Amino acid sequence: MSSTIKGQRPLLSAVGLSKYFPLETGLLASLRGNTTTVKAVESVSLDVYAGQTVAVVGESGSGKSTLGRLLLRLLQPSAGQVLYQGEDIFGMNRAETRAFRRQAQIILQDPYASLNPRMRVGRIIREPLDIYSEGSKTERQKRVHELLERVGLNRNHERAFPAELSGGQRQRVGIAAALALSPRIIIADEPTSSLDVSVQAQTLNLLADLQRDLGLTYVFITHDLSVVQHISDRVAVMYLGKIVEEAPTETLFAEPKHPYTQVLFSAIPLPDPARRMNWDLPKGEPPSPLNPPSGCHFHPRCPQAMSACSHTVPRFQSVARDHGLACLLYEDGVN
Amino acid sequence: MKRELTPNAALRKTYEASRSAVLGGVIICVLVLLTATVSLYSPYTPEAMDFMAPLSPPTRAHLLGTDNFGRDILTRVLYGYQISLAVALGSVGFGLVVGVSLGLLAGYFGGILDNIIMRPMDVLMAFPAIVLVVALTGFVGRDVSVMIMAVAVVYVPIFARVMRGSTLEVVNELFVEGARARGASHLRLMLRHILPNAIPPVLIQASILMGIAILLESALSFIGLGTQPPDPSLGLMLSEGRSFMQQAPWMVMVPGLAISLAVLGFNLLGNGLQELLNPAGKGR
Repeated sequence: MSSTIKGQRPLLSAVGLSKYFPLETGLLASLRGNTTTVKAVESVSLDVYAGQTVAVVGESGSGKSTLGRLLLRLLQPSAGQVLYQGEDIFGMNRAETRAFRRQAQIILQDPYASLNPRMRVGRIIREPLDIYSEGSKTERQKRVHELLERVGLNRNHERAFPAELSGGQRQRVGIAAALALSPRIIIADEPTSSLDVSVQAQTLNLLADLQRDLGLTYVFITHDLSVVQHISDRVAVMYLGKIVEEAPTETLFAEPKHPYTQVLFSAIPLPDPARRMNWDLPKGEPPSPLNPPSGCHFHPRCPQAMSACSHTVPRFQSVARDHGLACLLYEDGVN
Repeated sequence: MKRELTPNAALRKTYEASRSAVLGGVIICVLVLLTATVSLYSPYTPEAMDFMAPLSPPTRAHLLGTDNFGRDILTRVLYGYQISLAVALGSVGFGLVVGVSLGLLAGYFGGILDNIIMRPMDVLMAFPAIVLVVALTGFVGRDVSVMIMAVAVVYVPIFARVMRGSTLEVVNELFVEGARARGASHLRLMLRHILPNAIPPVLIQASILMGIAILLESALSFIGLGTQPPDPSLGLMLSEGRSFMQQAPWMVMVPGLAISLAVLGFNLLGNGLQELLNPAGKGR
């Protein structure tokens, strides 16, 4: 699919995007000038083409949710740009930001915390329409009914409070609210990870149907590789704030190149009792992003680490068409 | 130590809490009703003197006795409640509006605005309430409206602080971020999303501060800085009755019990609400 869109301008792209969070230090420490920062996202570049689904995969703490929030201007970056149809969203004025927010929506992770407990479902879904003063009151009401049906709920749910709904139903409400303004791109931040497996499948199918019918573009943030395989066109693997490998889904699943991607894939459970699992898991816990390892961040846990890995930072480069990665094993002149 | 509650025990606790809230609510409603309509059913006016029966113990004509001028104590207590409740409602109402707005702004925007709002609040809070009220009434004059403003000034920082704290808790909730992503303005975020979810602890505080306002009004009137004679006020009646404690103990007992009853009502309501809105096992 990605080959057909070469030459086309990406709908949304991150260029050298970084986000550093200063850690709360005392007054004295800041006077002495030694404030520590967490590098949640570090020079990330990513292109998202219209109609595609890009999955961002990583362990917790890899900065994938921070990336998602940067893409929607919910956070200000420390460096870099996010271009929406070629325009930097951080340079937009108030009116332009408002227009951008209409077209780029978010679906949040936890459907229990992401809906205002004191608003009825109907009002939650109608709120985006109210904010942008879309149509008359009756038109908004009609739209709410449409959206409820679209996501597989019915009109009876309109008067309910979120607490009266199940997790899957709440996630549907969140999806309906995100759809209300007919956005072009939706950032889905782990939309299924707090749902039961059966409900997960339903929600994923709903998202796939919506994409097909409405021509949506998704950035799908998840830690669940089995989900990624089903829904995404491209996958970006993040580790400690950096993208370590990015490729079309089939390529990545067929021949993962980065050692981190390889160990991640070996951890996907196989639904086949005859095949033995190859538990080639990364050694130890993910290191603290406060004090990341020198050189390649992954080297202390990497099964194929070389001596150079502890002091040389790998560059992100193309190894094949559409396939980029950051690993010294594939860099010339290092060995 | 944290206790784990079985579902049954939790239910029983909820029931007991709601019982306390309902009892408090009923006491307050009855008092407000009796007080608001007292001129319709009372055979006496608060200033009417019965020269035939000064210092009369409770009789059929004077259900709770009379004072040294022969004024009906029950009538005076009910009229006294009017001032007490006016001070309580007025000061808490004003304190709520100003304090909640300031606390919401401070908690929502944080940073410099937080400091600009909250540091003066800290200064106000450092004054002992009663001293501040005495100073204000002494300075501005003796009037119900002055008393209301004086108590309100004491209440504003309390409400601001509680509201700021609970705003800080709500502002980071996922649904607030979601609404922001949908393009909601600051005003909409504050009024539609944060305020309704952050207000419950403030309402509990309001109920308890109502009771304290009644006590403050009585204390001010008792030391002569509040309501002036011959207007009826519970604190003033206490102070007048002191000289007659030996001959007519009902002169101090009745207004004293009246104050207790009103304060008890508000505290029962506040505590009940606290238990209800902060269910077992969650927090504290």
